[in-house]
Amino acid sequence: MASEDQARDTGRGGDDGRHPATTTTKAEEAYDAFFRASWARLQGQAYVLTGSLEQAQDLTQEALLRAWTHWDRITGYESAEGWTRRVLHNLCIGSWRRTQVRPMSVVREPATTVDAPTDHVLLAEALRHLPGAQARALLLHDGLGMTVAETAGEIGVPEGTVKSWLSRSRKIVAAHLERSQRSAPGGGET
Amino acid sequence: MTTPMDEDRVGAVMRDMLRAGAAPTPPVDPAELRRGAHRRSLRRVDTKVVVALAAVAAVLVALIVAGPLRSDNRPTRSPTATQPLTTSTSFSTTTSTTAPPPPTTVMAAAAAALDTYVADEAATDAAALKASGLASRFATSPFIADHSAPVADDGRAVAVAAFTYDPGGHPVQILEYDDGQWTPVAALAAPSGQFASGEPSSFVFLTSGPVSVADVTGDGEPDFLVLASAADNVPGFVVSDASGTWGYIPFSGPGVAPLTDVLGRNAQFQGNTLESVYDSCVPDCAAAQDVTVTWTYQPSTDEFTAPDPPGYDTTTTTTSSTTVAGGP
Repeated sequence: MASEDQARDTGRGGDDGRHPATTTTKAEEAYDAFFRASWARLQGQAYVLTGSLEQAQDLTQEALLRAWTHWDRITGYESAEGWTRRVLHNLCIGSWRRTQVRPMSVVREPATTVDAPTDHVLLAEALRHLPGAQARALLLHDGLGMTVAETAGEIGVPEGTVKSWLSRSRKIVAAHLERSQRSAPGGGET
Repeated sequence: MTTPMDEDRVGAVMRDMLRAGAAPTPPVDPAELRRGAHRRSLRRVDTKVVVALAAVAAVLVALIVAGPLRSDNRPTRSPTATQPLTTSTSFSTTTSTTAPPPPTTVMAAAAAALDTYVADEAATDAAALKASGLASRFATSPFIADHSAPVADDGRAVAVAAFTYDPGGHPVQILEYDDGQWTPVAALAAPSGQFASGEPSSFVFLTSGPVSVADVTGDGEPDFLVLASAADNVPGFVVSDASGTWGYIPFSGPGVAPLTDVLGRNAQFQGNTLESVYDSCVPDCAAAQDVTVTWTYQPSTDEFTAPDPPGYDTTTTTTSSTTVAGGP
């Protein structure tokens, strides 16, 4: 991706990332370009995992904020967006747990998002029935169109494991979706 | 009437969500976000200092009250001598107009609350394990719940707890102490590398004992070593947020393929160094002299690596059926 190449080529510009300088450096320019280029893609992924546009926006912002605090490190990686994506996915999956253990907290529930299509809410809820790594694999492969090898490389597991996860995850999610739709009013269950 | 979704539809809905969720215009300017990060880092430094002071105060007070600094000849402690310490902090970053409790109280309260949280969670999970389909498969493995002591991380008090089983598939939890209670801020599926194949994400072989804390990644923040279990040694796995988010740090080598989260033999923290033991099994595993292997964190790949120890045979060990790092 052009923005990532640009980010790597530009370098850090002398500040340490955790205490950015007040003047605009090459690193800041590179980060800003990376931010603008990757925001939409990242927020889309967060929306898949949360089912809430508001929560997706918050978590994307948090992931990109962390990217800046670790900018000196991640610009040395093969893909700055890959690092940020991993952080974002983990934030989203972590939010599932938070939501489960803090039902009265301020964390927004996907089901209460009024403007999200039913399919979207149901899929986000169904993904919560998967272990986090399997949900990531499904998103990377079926959503982002990564190959099995790319998905395995990003998650750090063997390709065979990814294939197994994908097969199992699709069945679990599809079954959950079908159950949810049948039990919904007008969903066909009498 | 809605149409039932099949497996193909899962991908279609997902791609539709990717399009719908991809707002082209960020709601915040990147420069503004960078300034926010800077302010946050300053706040974290402040709270880090405060929590560090609290920890020092707790140790000093403990030493004075019950430890080696206590002396019958020592005059009664002046309230003014401890005043700066007892008013220094609580773990919460919430601003309060009331005087914070003494650090010893906070530390003791956090530790006690952690014990209670882990005990409650263990009781629930142990009951769930008995009722699960895994009960017969792991009937000989006792249910174990391990946890670390509360430690400061980026100005917060955090701890790691591991449970033999979690019905939700996340048996390792990273906890944060806030408002007098511990709450999971992240939860992890079982580490990879425990089994040759067919790994349940909800089950971990644990050894009873405390979760160790050290800075083995060199990022200035705590990393945690959870004691796993094997037939003849105590492997371990490292929980850290060195990559920017909580997760396991996998091990690469000697001769390990693919990456595994579990390190054998006898993984342990020595100071701020992660070590394991290698048994070359030459002339045989009982008679061979153990070699200590030191693992180094590689930030670029977010993994631990180690040089091949003396006597390591890449032609035989890499084909081992187990994926636990560190050789036989």
